[in-house]
Amino acid sequence: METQTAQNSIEKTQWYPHSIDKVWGALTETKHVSKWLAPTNFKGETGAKYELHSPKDDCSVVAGVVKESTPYTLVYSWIALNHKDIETEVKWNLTEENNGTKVKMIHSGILKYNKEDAQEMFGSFSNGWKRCFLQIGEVLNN
Amino acid sequence: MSEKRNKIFKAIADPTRREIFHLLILGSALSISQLSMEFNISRQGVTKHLKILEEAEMVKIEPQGRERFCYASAHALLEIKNWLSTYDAFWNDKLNDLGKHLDNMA
Repeated sequence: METQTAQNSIEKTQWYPHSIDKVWGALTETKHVSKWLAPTNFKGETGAKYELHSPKDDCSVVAGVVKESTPYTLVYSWIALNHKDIETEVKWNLTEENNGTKVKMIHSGILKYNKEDAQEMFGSFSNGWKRCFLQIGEVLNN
Repeated sequence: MSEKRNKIFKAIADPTRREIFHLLILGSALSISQLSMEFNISRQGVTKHLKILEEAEMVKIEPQGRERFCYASAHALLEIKNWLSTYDAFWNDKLNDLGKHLDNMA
């Protein structure tokens, strides 16, 4: 697995011995995304909102909207709910390669903060989000 | 999130402070007067930003003669890197999970 950590994004490329349509399905269909990513209502349709839940209880930890979903590019916003006004973006790009599929994933905007975001972010700490904060670590770690 | 990381995020939340920090990381130490000229803001304004950067331990300020010089602390970068590495590890795992799931799919 190649890993590149630029200042503001994480970029990963991985090849899978599966057809491009199968991989596309795994990335865009609710039942599949729920299996490998986290329990979710995610649907790969432009404009569709989604939430990722923690595996243990029904706490949503990440939310976002699908910005683009045209084979084989999928883009969605990714808002960790413990930094809820900081919008980051996850982009998937699939290409056929060596009888399989090369998957490129870029999670960008990770260090994108502006004044309002930060204020909101720190304000939100005291507003009962604590339980969910703990969950995000759980989703990220499991 | 640690108190320290909160302070760093507060510090880098402002574009001017981000630029001050970048400038100090890229170059050598700069005096408050130099920073004030560079950003075309008052010494008072620069001092205010520096105070927040100093509280986050991103910048050290040391008096030299009549001037005060500012240095960037690489430790802060490490904190930010830790934040990135949380997601980095997350996506490594998830791409592996995706691979396993694909293998199990009909």
